[in-house]
Amino acid sequence: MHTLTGAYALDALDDLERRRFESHLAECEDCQLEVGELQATAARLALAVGEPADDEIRRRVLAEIRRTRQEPPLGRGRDRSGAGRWTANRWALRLTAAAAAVALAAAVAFGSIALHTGHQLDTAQSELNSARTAYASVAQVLAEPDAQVGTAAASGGGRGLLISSRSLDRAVLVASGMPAVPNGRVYQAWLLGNGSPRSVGLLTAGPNAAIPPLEFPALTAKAEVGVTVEPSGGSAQPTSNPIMLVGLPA
Amino acid sequence: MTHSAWSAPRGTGPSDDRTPEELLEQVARGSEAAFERLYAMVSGPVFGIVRQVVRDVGQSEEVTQEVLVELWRTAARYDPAKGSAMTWTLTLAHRRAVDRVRSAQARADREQRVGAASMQRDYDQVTEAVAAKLERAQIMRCLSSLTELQRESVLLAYYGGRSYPEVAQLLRTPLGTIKTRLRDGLIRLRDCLGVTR
Repeated sequence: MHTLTGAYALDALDDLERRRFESHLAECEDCQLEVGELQATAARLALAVGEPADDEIRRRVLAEIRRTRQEPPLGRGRDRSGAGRWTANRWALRLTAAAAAVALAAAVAFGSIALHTGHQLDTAQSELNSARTAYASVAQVLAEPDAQVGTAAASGGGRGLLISSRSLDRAVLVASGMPAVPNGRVYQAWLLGNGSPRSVGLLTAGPNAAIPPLEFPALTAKAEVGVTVEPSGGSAQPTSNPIMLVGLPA
Repeated sequence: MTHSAWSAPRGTGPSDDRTPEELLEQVARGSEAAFERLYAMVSGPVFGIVRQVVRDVGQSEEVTQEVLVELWRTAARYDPAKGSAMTWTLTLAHRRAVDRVRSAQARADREQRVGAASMQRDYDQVTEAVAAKLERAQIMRCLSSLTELQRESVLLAYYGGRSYPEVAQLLRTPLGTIKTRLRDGLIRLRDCLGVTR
């Protein structure tokens, strides 16, 4: 096992071996030290081929981070002592696996993956890779011991799945099978509780027509999530009746 | 060995002596200004390694964008005890580049483009800032201290994004030998470069 430190640091293991090696790593302090050094060495190989990235990438990245919520640190005040800093990584690993499973289930549910031929399997694999990133937030909330799931049908067709965790104070809305809205209109999600509705964001379809999960703080003790159809860009307050309402469990 | 030679900001921004580690800590607390600063330091190396592995410019730009947004998203998970911020970032970038090329879609596109000869050509074509050029000279010197099999294995795996069974097949060498060469080659490189963490 120990001889795999080099292949691991170079990302030359396949997923299964990588996972096996990472569980070994959690128990092997010498390996952790060696992997750290070999990863730093590999990073020097990366630096040797640095080249300026196009300015357009900078513009897109800066725009995207402004609408991207940051994930909490690993550990979050719970007792994660014991195996030390690699424990956090194993936790992340489980999340990745959970995210992949959720993504696959979601992709199948959305009808975006149908497996008939080898070629389609290849396509499915690459969709799964990109879905894994998009669904990381879902897996993270699902991994909480107090995670709860609610569902509701949308009046125009489609469904909403609301996954929430009180301990994390976070919820994720996964919308599926929602018909495309006419040009100039968007789906907007609202947190409805005490006081006036609070926008939690727009549900915008990605390139494969599926709507990526919408993540937001659960905030109030008693609440529902509603979805309305709004003019492009969204509204400050809902201007139409909700087409879907899902309760947020207390 | 400090990392100042290669983690120093390139380009013409105002002078700022915050290290990538300090910046990442501020990014973790939500500072967009610190992220812009960090972006200036890491985006070139990130794009460089992603492009080396992925090859296709459009796809490389996509992966670069994903990596940098992931850096923002997961900044709070960075643990300085595990290594420098630059290593952490480039480890993430390489992993994502490899994820991309291992997806079967991209594979066919790359089949004919790998090999030590084309990599040598790529080194020569790359134009970059002075700090990176110095780094490269040292890397080239240290790479030449490896045995041929060590060097080819390490380069095919890292720059080519190849798994070690693929490396074994390409070099017509038994799996166990490649596994060992990847490790002892990288160790020799580590010692030559004086890398600690």
